[in-house]
Amino acid sequence: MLFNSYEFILAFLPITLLVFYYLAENVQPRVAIAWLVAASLFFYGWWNPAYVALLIGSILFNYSMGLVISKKEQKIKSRALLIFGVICNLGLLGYYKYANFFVDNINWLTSGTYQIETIILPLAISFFTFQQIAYLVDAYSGGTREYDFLQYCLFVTFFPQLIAGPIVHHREMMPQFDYPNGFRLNHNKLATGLTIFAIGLCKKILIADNFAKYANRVFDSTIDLSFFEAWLGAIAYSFQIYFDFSGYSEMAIGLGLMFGIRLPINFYSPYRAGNIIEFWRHWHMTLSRFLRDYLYIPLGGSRKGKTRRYINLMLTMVIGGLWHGAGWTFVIWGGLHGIYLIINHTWHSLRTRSRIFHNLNIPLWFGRILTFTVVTFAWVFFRAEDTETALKICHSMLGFDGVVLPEQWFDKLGFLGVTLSELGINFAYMHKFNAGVMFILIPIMLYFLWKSPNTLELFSSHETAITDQDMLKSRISWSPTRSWAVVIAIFGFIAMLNLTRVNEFIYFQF
Amino acid sequence: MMTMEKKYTRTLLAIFGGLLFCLALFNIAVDPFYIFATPRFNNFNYFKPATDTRQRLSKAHQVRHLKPQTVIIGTSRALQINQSNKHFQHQPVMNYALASSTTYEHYRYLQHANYHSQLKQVIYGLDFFAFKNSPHPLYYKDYRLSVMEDNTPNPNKLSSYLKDVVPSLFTMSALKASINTVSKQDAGDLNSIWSRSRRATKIVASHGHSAMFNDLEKSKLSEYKSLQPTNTCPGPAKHQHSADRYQYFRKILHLAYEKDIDLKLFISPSHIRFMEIYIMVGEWHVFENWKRDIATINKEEAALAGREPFKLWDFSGYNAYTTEAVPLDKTSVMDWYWESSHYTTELADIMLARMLNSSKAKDYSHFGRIIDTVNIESSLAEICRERHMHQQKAPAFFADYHGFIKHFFNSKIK
Repeated sequence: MLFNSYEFILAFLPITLLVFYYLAENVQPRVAIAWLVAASLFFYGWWNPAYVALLIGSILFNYSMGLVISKKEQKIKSRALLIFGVICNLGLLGYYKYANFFVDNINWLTSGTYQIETIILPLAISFFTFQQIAYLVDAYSGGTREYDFLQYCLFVTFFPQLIAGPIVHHREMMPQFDYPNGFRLNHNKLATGLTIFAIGLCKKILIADNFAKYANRVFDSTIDLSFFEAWLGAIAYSFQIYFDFSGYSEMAIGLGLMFGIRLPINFYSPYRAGNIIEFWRHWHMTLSRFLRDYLYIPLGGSRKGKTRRYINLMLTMVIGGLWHGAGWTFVIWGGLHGIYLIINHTWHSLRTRSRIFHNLNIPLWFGRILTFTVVTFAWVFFRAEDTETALKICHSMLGFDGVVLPEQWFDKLGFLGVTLSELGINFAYMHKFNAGVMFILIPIMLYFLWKSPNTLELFSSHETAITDQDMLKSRISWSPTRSWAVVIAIFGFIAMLNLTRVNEFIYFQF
Repeated sequence: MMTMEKKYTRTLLAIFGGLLFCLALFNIAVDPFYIFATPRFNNFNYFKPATDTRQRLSKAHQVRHLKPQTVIIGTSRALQINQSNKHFQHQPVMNYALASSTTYEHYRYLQHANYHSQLKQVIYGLDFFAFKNSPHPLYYKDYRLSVMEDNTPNPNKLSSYLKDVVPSLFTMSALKASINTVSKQDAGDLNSIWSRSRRATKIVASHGHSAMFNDLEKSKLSEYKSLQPTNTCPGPAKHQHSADRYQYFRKILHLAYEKDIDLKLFISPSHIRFMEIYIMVGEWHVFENWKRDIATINKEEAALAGREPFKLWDFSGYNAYTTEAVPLDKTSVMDWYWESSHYTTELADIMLARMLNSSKAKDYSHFGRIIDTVNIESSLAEICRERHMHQQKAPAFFADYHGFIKHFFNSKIK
């Protein structure tokens, strides 16, 4: 079930919420938790009931492993069990997510003809596997205590974060399930939760889905693209993925709040970043945190010299890329970000060592544009169906397939049009875009993303998401006033109207 | 005392819920897709123009409410048949045809109609291309039919119903359709003959019949050209008829015998320009074989049921209607055709008069012939003779038209 579906908004959410608070206040908080777990399993099973068993199996296995591992008496035995537990989790992930990819590549390398049937990837497996690996590792290092089984089930299955994150950590979630207030309805959390959910929904439906139309035209194109067509498509995808994913994360945070649970922040205006290191501190923050704590640091982090640090960085980013999907495009995407980070760290160390570089004053806007540009370039590999398509689009983005501007601009540009034409720029029909709209939209969107407060900054005086960010105080901030209620209700209504369309078309008009 | 936050939540939910409620109420009142069978009022929601482009959705629901005793099934050509024709004996009548449909959809929708209604008569327009091995149209949704292919009831009736109903209440496209319905009552819809004629006349006035004929023929020729892209001149096409599609035709006959439905089968009368495409692309013999096949299947199924075969009318051929001259100006309106594939309601009325054996049937005795396994060869030969005679009568037309087809095959597909 998706957050942006009618069945979720009109049926699942209100029923789950009402029954939850009824049980919490009139029966027992523990029963309310059991209800929430059952509702979350139903939410998961809506997609494919068969995989509910897999999720339950994974919970049972990891919970019992965690209990045994956390017993301090036999350290060696615990270590062996931890390795076994992590291998089992990775094995499960590997089988469902990477088996087909692995066999394809073996066949490619050996010209072999090994075949396995196509395995359907269980939804959310990457998320719940990572969450539970973190739990096992912390159980070994003494970072857990004996959790209640029902609470552990909720930690893994809690539906707002189950499908697409944020990747929650047991340390930040479990204490919240101790129901100190008996899960009493908190009107502040309900109001902020509803509002943040509606804002996330609008970001997804009204912004991301509209940019998707532009991006899809370019990425699904079978013909060679010109320079601007390729860049406009890639930038459209940059906006699409940001508003789509951050919108989804905000819906998750909003939903969590409705149940009185705070989820960790996952995005904090990443396109405001002035360099790539900063970008990764603000993009999919819970994944970055996981990779840092459970991969980069165990690999040695930055403690074993510069070379090892860069190797560790590269490995972390490539594995991070592969986590997103089994394909070479994701590996290249991760690799590109690894290279970007290495360049960025090298630049920083140059600046600390050399006075010339140290005194170099690079304006923030330049850093932001450069970061956005390289991030956009890397997104091409993330979005493209295969490496061939991605390389074709990159080829166009690098100007090898010519530079074309809309033909109607030639007359409008006057003398400049002639000059551009002499420089080799063609003026022709651009069939992929209404280029004019995109040329205007891009700077507006970037300005909006740089200057306007993000959703969580609107709520900086309220306890919404778990974060260690220093929230910028925004001039505009949310307060429970009637005008905010009207605006959010109207935008929520418009988003609802656009969830799906009854779009049956028949060309015959008689 | 109510906190600020509590007031805020209440206001937000009240406005959001209120807007949704009003929207749903408006969409139910207008009922642009014919899903709720809300009462129809002149100048408000009587005509449903949105159903023209959502035939599969609206007809699946309309048939539940209307419970027709007579249905007309087939492709867009059968859509031209007037459900208000006075010769129909069993009322109510519903034009249940679907544009670009195949025999599979015809069977599935007939099963659905049979589930909701006591069908007495079915008028089935048979079209050559409905038997081709093309994929199901994108907009066909199996879930919305009340009965499964194996005749068991749809086990997910409620969720299937909601899948259509919820988007018809709460989407932007539903809202637009409702607004369009209310504001464009003068345009009518496909089911209103008055408006169909008016609309078609409007389209003819803006395009002219000649351009409409050319556009349709070019799109048909492109289809053939894409099947043989390396050929620069017309030659045998590789369109295949599917055994599956014949199977569904058999199932329709079987269902009619089983439920004691009076089934009237007819082969649509294409304009001779359309027939000439079959000849030029080398598909004429496939077209003839198709007629042989359906005549044979009709006989086989009748034998299995121990009944007389259903009457199979063939209106294709060369006669005063199918050879109607195409005017080159934009003001003249043809009597019998919109373009080479689609005949007019007036021609459909004549076909109905023949099939339903009305008092006027004798006036049109030269139009259409009943075919069966006994007379099929002589009937096919007769059509070839008719063509030959017509070719002698109008050699310039044939030369020009053949030139047009050859020129198309030699040029790039546009």
